Amino acid sequence: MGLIQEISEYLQKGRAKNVKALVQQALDENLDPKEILNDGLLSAMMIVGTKFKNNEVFVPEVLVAARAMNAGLSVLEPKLVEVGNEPVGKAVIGTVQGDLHDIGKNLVVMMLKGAGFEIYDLGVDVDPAVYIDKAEEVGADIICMSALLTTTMPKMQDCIENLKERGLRDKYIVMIGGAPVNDSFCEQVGADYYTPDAATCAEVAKKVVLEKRAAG
Amino acid sequence: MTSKERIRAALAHKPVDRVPTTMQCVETAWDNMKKYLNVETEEEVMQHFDIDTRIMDLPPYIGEAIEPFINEDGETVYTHPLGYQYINKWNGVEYNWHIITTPYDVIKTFDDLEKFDGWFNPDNFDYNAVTEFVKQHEDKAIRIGWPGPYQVFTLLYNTEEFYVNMYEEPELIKAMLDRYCKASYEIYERMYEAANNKVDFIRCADDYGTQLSTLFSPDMWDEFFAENTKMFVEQAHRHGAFYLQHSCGAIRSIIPNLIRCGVDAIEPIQKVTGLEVDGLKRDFGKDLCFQGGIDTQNILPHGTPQEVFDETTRVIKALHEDGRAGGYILCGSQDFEGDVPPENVCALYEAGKQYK
Ligand code: B12
Repeated sequence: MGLIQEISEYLQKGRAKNVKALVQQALDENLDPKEILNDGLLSAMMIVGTKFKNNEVFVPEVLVAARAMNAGLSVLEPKLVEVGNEPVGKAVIGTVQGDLHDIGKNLVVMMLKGAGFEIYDLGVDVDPAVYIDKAEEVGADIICMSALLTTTMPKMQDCIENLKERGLRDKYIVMIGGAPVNDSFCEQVGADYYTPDAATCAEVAKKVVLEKRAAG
Repeated sequence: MTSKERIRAALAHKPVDRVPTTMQCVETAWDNMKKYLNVETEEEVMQHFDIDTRIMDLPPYIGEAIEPFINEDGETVYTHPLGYQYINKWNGVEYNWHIITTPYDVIKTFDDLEKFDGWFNPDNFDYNAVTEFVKQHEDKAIRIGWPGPYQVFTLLYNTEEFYVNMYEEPELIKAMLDRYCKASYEIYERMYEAANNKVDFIRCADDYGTQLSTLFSPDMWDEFFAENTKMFVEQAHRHGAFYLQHSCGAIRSIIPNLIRCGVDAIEPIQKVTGLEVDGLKRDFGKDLCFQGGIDTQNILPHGTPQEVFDETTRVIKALHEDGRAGGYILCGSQDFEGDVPPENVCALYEAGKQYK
């Protein structure tokens, strides 16, 4: 088995120490950092995400895999900077105001990272305006909002209205999700995309960011 | 039938004279109901709907006073008897608690576990209040119980750390669960005794499910939760009480595990993947009684009273006993929240009353 393949296997099993050591070894052997990233770490994380979506693995398995990915990334990142690896895009994410559920949001963070995004995680209980301030500050492509309560979902609309008031609605792709959210709510509040799970969120995010960039 | 007899019959899969009811609300929903019915107390709201249960989750706390204090942001910080600190925040519709400190986070080794003194102390609760409560509601069905071991860990311990340590430090996690359960067991023991064994059922709340599945695998459920669930079930049965397991979410895959542990009933039957009421009754109706099922994510907040009435009738029809094995207790698929119009709560209980 090749080194890259081995990294991928260990990541899927959530073995942070092994992943970290193997990424170091791969760098020592002068393997291409981008290949280590894409074929070793990120694609493995996507495999875990897909299994999660299909109920083959559960939250703990995704979290330990994500820890392993982060362990690998910590070794790899300085090298990636050296070779000038660009992220797919930048995403600002948080759980909406009044809501503290963050397990799902954190999984979305991990999958977006797995898809190659640079992530700005605002945590929980995020004021609608704060998403926008952060997006402006970092030059984000996407704003992602998570809500798990029917009573906090309206905050998503507040953020979108706020975007409109500030004349920024078309500048950002707005994605929303969380247990009570669905397609018709997405349409009703004027968000761009809803997906029911984290893996699909990452796929869609990547696709639309690349499309938007291609369209100029 | 008295309320007590009605609920006990439902839980024992025996015939009842009408659909038994219970009621659970978040703070704001209670306030909305009081205002709507023009009454002062929760008790009056329950009397209005002829609710069969009276609930005391934990006895009143009489330990050292843990006074609320104001933090730097000007928010009032409360400490729950379980040990976590929280603030209440208004979200435009209702107040919800936000946990700000999780005391079990300091336990990183077995050594820390030995030194930790933040467990529940059974001496800190007023058991005379339990005796009084039971006397006050003699003909009602008495329910006790609060979060079970899993739920407590989502309140007292960093949730992500918990999941990761199920893999990385399973023995430590099991030891922590054991310590928590021992304290909890002792409190329940004293409650059952103070109630003269007149507790009718206990509800342990553990949210094992998401909209689509369980948060961890059924095997992992067995590894971490089968033994402690059995322990609380056996304790309840020894005191003549039934055991009701609360779990939010899509928990079909672990229902067989719950049945193996002797669980008598489950709630709140959310409208999620795999918990379609007909299938539940068909596959598990002979082993389990059901409570809840009227959707708080959609119909109750957003439907019309007529829609709530019809949906309630449909759920009762599917889950209520008609000489067949398997009882049913009527309520929402979770606490009523601040976004549920009082008219819809009325429609729900009205459908129960009219059901033939
Ligand atoms: C765990 C949990 C809690 C934990 C949260 C711990 C934490 N750190 O997150 C605790 C115990 C603290 C909690 C508290 C409360 N909870 Co709660 N909770 C849950 C539970 C059981 C699971 C949520 C979860 O973590 N799921 C696992 C993750 C992986 O799934 P997910 O969040 O849905 O995320 C996935 C997708 O939705 C999607 N996704 C998520 N975010 C995003 C964002 C984008 C952009 C996209 C594209 C996709 C996406 O991807 C994720 C992965 O695939 C749900 C049950 C349920 N049916 O969901 C109730 C639930 C959400 N809670 C509920 C309630 C009522 C509460 C409380 C109000 C309880 C109370 N009475 O006080 C409080 C509110 C506290 C507050 N201020 O927010 C209700 C809400 C009902 C309603 N009317 O909306 C639910 C539905 C339970 C129920 N039976 O009704 N809860």
